[in-house]
Amino acid sequence: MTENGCKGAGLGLRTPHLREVIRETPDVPWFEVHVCNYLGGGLNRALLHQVRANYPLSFHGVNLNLAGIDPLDRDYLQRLKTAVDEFQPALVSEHACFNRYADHYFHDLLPIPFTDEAVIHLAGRVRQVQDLLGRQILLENLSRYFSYDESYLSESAFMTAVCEEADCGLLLDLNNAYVNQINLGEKLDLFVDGLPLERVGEIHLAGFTEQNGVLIDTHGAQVSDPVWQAYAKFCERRSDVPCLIEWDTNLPAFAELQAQRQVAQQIQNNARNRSGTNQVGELTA
Amino acid sequence: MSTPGSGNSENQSYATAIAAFSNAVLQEGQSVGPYSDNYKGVHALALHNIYQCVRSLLGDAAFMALSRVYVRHYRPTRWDLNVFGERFYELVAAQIHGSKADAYDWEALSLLALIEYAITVQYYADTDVHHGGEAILLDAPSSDCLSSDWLLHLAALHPYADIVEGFMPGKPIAVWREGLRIKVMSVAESTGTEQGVSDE
Repeated sequence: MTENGCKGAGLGLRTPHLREVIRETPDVPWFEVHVCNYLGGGLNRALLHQVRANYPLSFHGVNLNLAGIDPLDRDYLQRLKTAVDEFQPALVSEHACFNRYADHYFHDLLPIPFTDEAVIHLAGRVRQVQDLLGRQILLENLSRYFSYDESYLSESAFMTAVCEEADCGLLLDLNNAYVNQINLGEKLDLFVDGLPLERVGEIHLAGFTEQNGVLIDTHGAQVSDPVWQAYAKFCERRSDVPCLIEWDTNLPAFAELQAQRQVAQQIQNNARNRSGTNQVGELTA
Repeated sequence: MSTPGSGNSENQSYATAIAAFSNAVLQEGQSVGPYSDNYKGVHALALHNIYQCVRSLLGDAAFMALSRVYVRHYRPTRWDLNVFGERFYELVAAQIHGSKADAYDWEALSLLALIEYAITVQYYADTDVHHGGEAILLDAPSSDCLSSDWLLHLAALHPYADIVEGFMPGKPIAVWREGLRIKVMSVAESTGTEQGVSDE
């Protein structure tokens, strides 16, 4: 196995590119996978072992139902723990959302109200997961198309409180923040400024599509200029955080993903060169 | 944007808010439109990915029409989206009573759907037959309803599966995994219990 640290700009690895990556070992510092696709046995898992032999990995989950009110799925958690122990990913992340209610699986990242009750509920479940995995996880901010009347905390105040209460890290998705700015009028800069940046352990960059005047976080296009600008601004403060290009729908050729990744890497390098130092962030506060 | 459901709800508890939101998505409430759209889209896409051969034979329009009906009436009960759609074959078979009863060979398509779902389940199964994994046995086809052309097409769309060019009428079909290869054949053609297959 190669070293397990994620540094610089990586790529989300999707099934259609698995064999190409194994065969050609492209110049990518690390890959992130949707871990839910690798929790069984068989071909996917075997292929992931071949990827892991050459690259550090980040495990990104969408099914933990961390903010749900159904009990945490022990079978899923045990499978996740087995995979984490087996592949030793550098990072493990999930979302600040729910995706199951009354045994109905939505297979979507559903928003929650930003309240103190929600902070306590979500942080408690994040702690349970971290205790079982024996490691810290990163919690990702959502793209949202709905605001609860019940919310009285800002998203940044909410995420900060959860991270501190659970002592977890933060996966900052700048495209999600931009989508929220356009759809809900929540300023991206204010959101980022309100976060505990020392806890940011990974950045996500992706593209969106516009449907009926609403930006939908489809991960189906190139990163937009405003999101690149937000990333450059973030790098002025933290240029040491691994950054990921996510692309899920309308998946292009691997070369196009590489081109996007190289833009991200260049932005990070530029910020690092300007600062004249290698900033070293800490995952934990 | 505001809380789905009724009225001002500042005092709703967290659980109540989650419940109201979930119900609004399922009922396609206007305030949660993007979520309702995504719910339908993501599950239709799962069917699209699993039933590649059925889709190819039906054509996109007919397949999408069936997918929409399935997503509306069959609720997802597992976290793993890769194995959504386990009863799709029932919906396909039921079309024999529908307005397009004569347009397709629904019985054969239903069997094909069963096979494609079994291939998917074995693809993601924890273990193969040499490590405690079990074969999936499908009811025997009443005749050789799946043509060799269809089976060649099925094999081309599932390159990690070894699929025979014809099933034996009256014999169950077994689908299992050996190592990284998935095997699909009539039980009588397999080597029996050594591969975890029996025709009890």
